[in-house]
Amino acid sequence: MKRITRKLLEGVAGVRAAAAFLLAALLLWQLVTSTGLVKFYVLPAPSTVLEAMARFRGELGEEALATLTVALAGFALGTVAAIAVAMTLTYSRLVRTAVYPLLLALRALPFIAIIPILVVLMGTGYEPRITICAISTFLTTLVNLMRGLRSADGEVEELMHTLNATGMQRLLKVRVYAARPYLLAALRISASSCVIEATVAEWITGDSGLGYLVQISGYTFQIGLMWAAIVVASALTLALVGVITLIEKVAMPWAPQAPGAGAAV
Amino acid sequence: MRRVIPAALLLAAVLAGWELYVTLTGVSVLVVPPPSGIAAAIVENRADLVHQTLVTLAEASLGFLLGNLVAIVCAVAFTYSGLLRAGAYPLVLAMQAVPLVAIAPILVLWLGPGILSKVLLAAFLAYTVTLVNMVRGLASADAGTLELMHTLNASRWQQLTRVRFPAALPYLFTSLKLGASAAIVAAIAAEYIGALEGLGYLIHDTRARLDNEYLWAAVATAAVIGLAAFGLVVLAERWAMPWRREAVEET
Repeated sequence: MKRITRKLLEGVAGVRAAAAFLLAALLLWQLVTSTGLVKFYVLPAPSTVLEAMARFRGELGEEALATLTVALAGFALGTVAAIAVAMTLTYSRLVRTAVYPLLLALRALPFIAIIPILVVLMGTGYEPRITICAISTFLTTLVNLMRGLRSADGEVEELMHTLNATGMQRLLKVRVYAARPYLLAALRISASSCVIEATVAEWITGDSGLGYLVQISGYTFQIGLMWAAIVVASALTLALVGVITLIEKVAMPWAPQAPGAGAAV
Repeated sequence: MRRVIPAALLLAAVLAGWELYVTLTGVSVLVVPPPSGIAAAIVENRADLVHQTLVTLAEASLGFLLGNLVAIVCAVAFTYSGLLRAGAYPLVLAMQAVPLVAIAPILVLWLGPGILSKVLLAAFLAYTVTLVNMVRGLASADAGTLELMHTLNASRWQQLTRVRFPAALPYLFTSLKLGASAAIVAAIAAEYIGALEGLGYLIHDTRARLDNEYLWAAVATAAVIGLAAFGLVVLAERWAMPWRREAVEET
C-alpha cells in the first residue's frame, strides 16, 4: 500500500507543472470565448461545456457506459485470444512461419476501414463494435507477446534445461516471466485504442455510445454537448490507461519504461 | 523472400476457400461477396477507385509530413529548454492517451468537408507519436560522446546533428512506422464524419448503396495502401540505417 502511495505522489509532483500550464490554457480559453472574440460554435467556453455536462449527465453516463462495455468486452476477448495464439505460435514452428508474417502485415492495416463490413455482417448492435475492438487488441497484444516470449534470457533457458525442467515449466517460469512487461505495454496501448475503435464504430452504427452522441449532437448543433461527449471519451481513455499504468508500476517497479511497440490507433 | 512463401501460400488458400465457400453455399453477395466479385468490382470501377485512393493518400501524406516536421522541431525545443519540457511535455504525454480520432467531428465542423480537416487530424496523430519518441531518442544520445563534443568545443548545432540525431534515428523510425498507418486511419476516420471524396467516403457510400462488392473492393484498397505506407517506411529505415538491418527484420 505504501508503495502505491509513493508512486502516486511521484506522479503528482510531475503533474504539477502540467496542471499549471493546463489551468492557464483553460483561463485563456474562457477569456477569449466569453468575450465573444471566438464564436461559441467554433469553440464553446469551458463553462458551456461544463454546463452541458451537468445538464446531460444522464445521457452522458448512459452512452459512456455503452462505450465502456464495448471497449472492455473487446479488450478482454482480444487479450485472451492473443495469449492463447501466442502460446500456440511459440510451440509450433510450422504454424508460426505460415501465420506470423500475415499477422504482422494485418497489424499495419487501417482497422477502422473494415467496420462498415462488420456492420453489414452483424448489424448495428454491440457485435460489430466489440469485434473491431477485439481484433485490434488481439493483433497488438499478440505481436508484443511474441516479442516478449522470445526475449527470455537464453542462459536461464539453458539452466532450466540442465535442471531437467519440463516444457511447461520453462514456458511458465522463464518465458512468461520475461514477457510480462511486453504484455502490460500492449494492454496499455490496447486500452486506449479500444475506446477509439469503439467511438469510431459508434459513428457508423449510430445506435448508442459516446461516438453516437458526438455525432448527433454535432448534427443538431448542440456544440456544448458535443464537446462534453468528447471530453468524457477522453477521460474514459485516460482512466483506463491510468489503471494499467498503475498495475505496471506496482507489478514491476524495476521497469521504468516498459518496452514494446506501440500503436497510435 | 523464403519467409514470405508460407504466408503467401496460406493467403492463397484462404482466398480459394472463400471463393469455394461462396460458390457452394450460394450465400448472397449482399452478405459475403466472392473474391472474384470483388476483383470484378475493382476492374469495373478502377478510375473512380484510383481517384478516391489518391485523395485519401494526399490527405494522409500531407498530414504525416506536417505532423512529423512539427514534432521533430518541438522535440529539439524540448531537449534544449527545461522550462518548455516541464510545462508542456506532461500535457503531450496526456494528449497521447486522448482518443484523438474522437476530435474528428470538431475538425470537420471547423474546417468543413474538404481535405483540410483530414490533413489536420492525420498531422495530430503523427505529431503525438513522433514527439514522444523523438524526445526519448534525442535524450538517448551517449553521454560520453556528448561530453567529448563539449570538450572539443562543438556548437549546439553540431552536437544536435552529429550526436543526437543519429542516436534518435531508431526511435524516429519506430514512430514513423506507427504514424504511417495512423495517418491513413485518421484520413479515413475523418472522411466517415464528413467528406465529398476519398476512400472513407467511398466505404461509407457503398455501404449505404448496398453495393457490397464495391464496398469490399474499397476496404481491400484501404488495406493495400496501409500496408504499402508501412512498407515504404520500412524501406526508408533500411536505407537510412543500414547497420540495423538485422534488427529491422524483427519488427
